[in-house]
Amino acid sequence: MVFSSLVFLFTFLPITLIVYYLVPWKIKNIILLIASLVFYAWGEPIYIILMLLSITFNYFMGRDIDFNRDEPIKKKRSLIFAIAVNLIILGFFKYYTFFIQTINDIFSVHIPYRELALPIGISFYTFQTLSYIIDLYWGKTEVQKNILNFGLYVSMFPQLIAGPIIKYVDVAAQIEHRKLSIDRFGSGAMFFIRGLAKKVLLANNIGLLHSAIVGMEFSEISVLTAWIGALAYTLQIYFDFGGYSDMAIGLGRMFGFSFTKNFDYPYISKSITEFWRRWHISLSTWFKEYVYIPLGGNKVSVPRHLINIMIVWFLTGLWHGASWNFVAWGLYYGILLLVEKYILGRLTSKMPHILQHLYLMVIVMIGWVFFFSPGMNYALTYIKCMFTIGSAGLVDKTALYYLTTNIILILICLIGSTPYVHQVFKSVILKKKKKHIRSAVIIYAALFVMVIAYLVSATYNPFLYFRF
Amino acid sequence: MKNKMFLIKTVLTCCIALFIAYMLINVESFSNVDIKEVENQIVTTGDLGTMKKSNNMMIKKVFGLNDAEYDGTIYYKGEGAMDVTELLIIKLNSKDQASSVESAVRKRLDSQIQNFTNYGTNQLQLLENSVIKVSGNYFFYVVSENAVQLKDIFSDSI
Repeated sequence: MVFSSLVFLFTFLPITLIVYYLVPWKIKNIILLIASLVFYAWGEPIYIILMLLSITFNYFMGRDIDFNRDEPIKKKRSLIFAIAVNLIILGFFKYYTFFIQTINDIFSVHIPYRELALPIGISFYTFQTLSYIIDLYWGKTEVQKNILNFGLYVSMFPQLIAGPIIKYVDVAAQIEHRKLSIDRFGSGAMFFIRGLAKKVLLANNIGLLHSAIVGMEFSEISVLTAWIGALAYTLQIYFDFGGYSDMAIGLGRMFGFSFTKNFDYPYISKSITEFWRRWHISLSTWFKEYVYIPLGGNKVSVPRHLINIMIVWFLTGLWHGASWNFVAWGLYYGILLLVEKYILGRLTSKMPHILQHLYLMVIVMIGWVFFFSPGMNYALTYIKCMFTIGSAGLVDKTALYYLTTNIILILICLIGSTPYVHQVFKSVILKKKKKHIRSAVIIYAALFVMVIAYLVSATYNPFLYFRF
Repeated sequence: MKNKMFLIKTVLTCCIALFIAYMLINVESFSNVDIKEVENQIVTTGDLGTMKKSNNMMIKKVFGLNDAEYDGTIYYKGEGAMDVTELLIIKLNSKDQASSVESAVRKRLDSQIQNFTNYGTNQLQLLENSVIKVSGNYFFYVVSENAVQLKDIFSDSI
């Protein structure tokens, strides 16, 4: 089930909210846990077994680490065992096919294999359980003794299938005690509708432009068309994933939780380093805390630092998908971050701000080509189309057609990817005067109606981060 | 407590291993056969009648589906406004895509049935005998006099 589906909006969410608000505090967590399991089981019921096994296993491993807290060797052994089992599960369901395919390709052998459907959200919930186990080992958090509460942490439906990746330490207190209020519910609903509108009205529509362009033969793609296609995807993935994160945060608030933001207007960044401080913040933070810093971070020699960065970005790429183009995408950023830090950083920081933005956007758009491509050959050929004049030329009628018919949508998306719209909205509308509150309600209600109208009539409603 | 914890860990690890083994043995898996091989089998051994190969843009135009979202697509279509024969095969990226593909195809089928009701008896019969099949990560749809034969070749080839 996805948030931008009619069954979620008009059946699952209202029922869950009503029951959740009606029952006493003692069983609110149980209701939310049951709702989360139903939500998860909706698409692929078989994998609910895997999730329950993962919850039970990690719960007992947490108890085991806590039980051995005064015996460092046993405690470490439990930690390694827990990490290994979690990574084996993730590795099997996500990377097993990729691994066998790679062996077959490299050694020209034909090892037979069965390709399994990827359990939804496995990358997200595995990273969450690992954060609990590791933080518990480091003594940053207390053990969770209630398996239902632990199950709720792992499976909580607002952030289950596409994050943000919530560290246990950040929600442990909220799982036990949290507040519900009209204000919190209202701000959550606003967050949710804003995210829903970003996803349905902006991401889905700009995604149609991207799909039309990647559906063309390479010989028909001019340089301008290729850039329009890359720009369309750049905007689509931001509003798709950013919108989904906003919906998750909004839903969390409606149920009394506070999740940290996952996106902070990444496209206004002026450097790659800044971009990654603003894009998918929860994933970057996870890799920083659980991989980069344990490897030594930047408090090591330069060669070791280079290796650390490349390890982290190799893993970041691989986390996104079991395919070489994702690995290439990760390494691409690893190399560029190193180049920026050690070579070009000082030079680019002295450039006018507009040039810094342009530099960042060009790099990001090229990066997304690796991301949306089905394989490396496609990605490299597409990038070639962006930089070399082929048979379709520099600018052709198709490019001008796509540009003129989508220019308003592109401009709306570009403006929407900056903080200015929300700042203006906040300063003008969200003042605590009755008239302004009424205006805000009307605007959000109108957005919701537009979303529903779109969902009822359109068949195109993909979700890009679902497969991760 | 120590022994109890060891027992629990062992049992849970065994359960996870058993689940993985079950998935490998019993669950309908994704086919890793290339869609071009499936196409080759159908073209060489099946009878496609008047159908000719169409491009990705036609899939978008006819079904509203975007080729780029899938692992691979094949679309053959009869020529002319009165020719309702068509064959669509899609290799899905994930099983979740099957329902949206199926609803798009059913929408197309319903619209075709509506167009030919009280108008083209033969066409209507072909449309009513159409075959829609989801098999693992493959989606298959055909409107043809040889629908069953084509479906069988498809099933064997994946």
